Amino acid sequence: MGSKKEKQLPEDVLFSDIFTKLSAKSVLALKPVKKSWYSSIKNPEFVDRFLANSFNRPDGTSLLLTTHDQASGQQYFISSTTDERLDSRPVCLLSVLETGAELSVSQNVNGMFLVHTRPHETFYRDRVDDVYVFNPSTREYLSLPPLPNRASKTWPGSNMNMISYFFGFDVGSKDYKVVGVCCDVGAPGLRVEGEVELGIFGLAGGLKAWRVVNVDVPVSFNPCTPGICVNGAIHWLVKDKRVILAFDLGLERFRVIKLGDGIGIDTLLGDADGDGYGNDGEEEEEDDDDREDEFEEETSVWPCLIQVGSYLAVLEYDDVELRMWVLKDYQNEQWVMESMDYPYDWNLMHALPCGSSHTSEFFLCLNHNTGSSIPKIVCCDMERSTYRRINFVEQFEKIDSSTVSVSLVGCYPENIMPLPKI
Amino acid sequence: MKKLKFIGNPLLQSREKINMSSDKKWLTLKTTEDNEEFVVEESVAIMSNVIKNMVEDGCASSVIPVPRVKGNAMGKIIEFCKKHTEESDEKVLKEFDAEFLNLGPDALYDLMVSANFLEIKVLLDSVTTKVADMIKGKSSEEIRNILKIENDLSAEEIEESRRENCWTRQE
Repeated sequence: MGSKKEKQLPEDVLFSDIFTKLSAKSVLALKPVKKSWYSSIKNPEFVDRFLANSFNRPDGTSLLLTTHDQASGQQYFISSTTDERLDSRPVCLLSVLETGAELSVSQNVNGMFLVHTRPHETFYRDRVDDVYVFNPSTREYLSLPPLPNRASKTWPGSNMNMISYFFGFDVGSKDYKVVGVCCDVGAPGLRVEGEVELGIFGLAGGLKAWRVVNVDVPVSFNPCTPGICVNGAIHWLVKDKRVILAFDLGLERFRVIKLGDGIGIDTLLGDADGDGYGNDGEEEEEDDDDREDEFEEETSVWPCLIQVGSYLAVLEYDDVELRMWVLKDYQNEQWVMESMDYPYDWNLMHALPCGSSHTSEFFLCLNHNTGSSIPKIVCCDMERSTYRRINFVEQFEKIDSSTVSVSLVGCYPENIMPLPKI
Repeated sequence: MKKLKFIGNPLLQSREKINMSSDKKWLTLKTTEDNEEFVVEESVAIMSNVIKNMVEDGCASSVIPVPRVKGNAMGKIIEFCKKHTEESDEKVLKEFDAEFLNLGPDALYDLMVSANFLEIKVLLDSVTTKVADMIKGKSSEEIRNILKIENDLSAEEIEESRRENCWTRQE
């Protein structure tokens, strides 16, 4: 009964149950093992399954950090695993991009990030923006063709415009889309309102150019605020109107989501009691202090939108506690609040929050913008009201930490999706 | 000559004693490939989704035929299911699993294929995690040996693949 051919494992079990348990690095190392595996690993079904399981693996999510070295003009990307089983986590250098100006990195969508030229750099007519889609799990990046600069409405004939880029995933067409919002530099306060021109670039579909659409914006917003993509739409927090602006990537239309009662009562500028003045609940003194506070509130990152698991959440703080409002029921706009106390020595004014792949958990970089070279990162668990410090093993040896500072971008799940070639 | 394997309380030796205990339901599983019979508690047997569905649909008569699974694999599977039904302490189960899965690749694969066929999620998870750990960080050649795969790439193809993702072999 003995057969000469050795028993082989059925390939479907290999891919569906074994390879989904490996790290992205290990899966990619499987390519040269067998000819058919080279393409099986890129199979969309396997890619989806792998991504779904990344949320379950203890080493399935990582932190992305970045830094820009002015001297060499290079942008570095570094990752660190969030594996709870490790006391201190190794960091590894993922990629180095040669670039002139410092690049901005937006929040991740299924583990991929959008890297682009900062929108508020010096404006010049022939500026060409750098826009990349970066997958830290495969260390691949895709350079997008430039979105042609648009004519300015304020100064027609001149294309003095600024483009803000955002990234999202259209659930309906299963396509990753980059959205460029063209902002008229001449507009007061750099707000986008009324009719706006958007450039849309979908990664699938083989198109190698941007599509330009004209869309109505229901509420004016500052395009320099970060966007968060959940449920197939990109969201921005419009603080002074106390709403969330959402751009549906499938319908390619904007809509407004109201903030639940109580959200940002003390911390948002907006006019909650409808008396025509901001600073609700306070005396209406128009002295210098108030104006300074307003400016600080305008430029502060708090309160902010983050992604926790598959939900959108607003994070805010006061003297005593951190509060997270999670939009648990997206359709019916139902919010759930969780809070926790925080240590007295955390100066949250200098903290940069970002989301995580686990519901009710988020990361805080406590020394953002303070000039320190190594980020001090904690992970807060709202459900248990606890936090844990993220300790790094290597002190970023490859980067001269005396001249550059490393900042936290976000927490992402591992995704082995190959980027299309353009 | 039918071989009857009894997996249960070692103190109960005879068939009469089995039939007298009315609070537990027993099933007989028969591996059709080699005609081995196993008498098991229903609560243990239904860890397999396939058997569970058969019992719930009422088509489980006195003897349930189980194709594709060999006798020795069946014995191991029942041992696993029994332990996981009796024990609730996570730590004890973890130690048991580690010891239990200390098998050669052939036995592991038999177990995996059978667990997949019988739809026993807990066992499949344990075995697949073990196999995943076995291939983590290994070279292509080592992986081929462990999973018993023939090398069907040419030298150039291997070299090209190596260059494409060389960082996956570093660190």
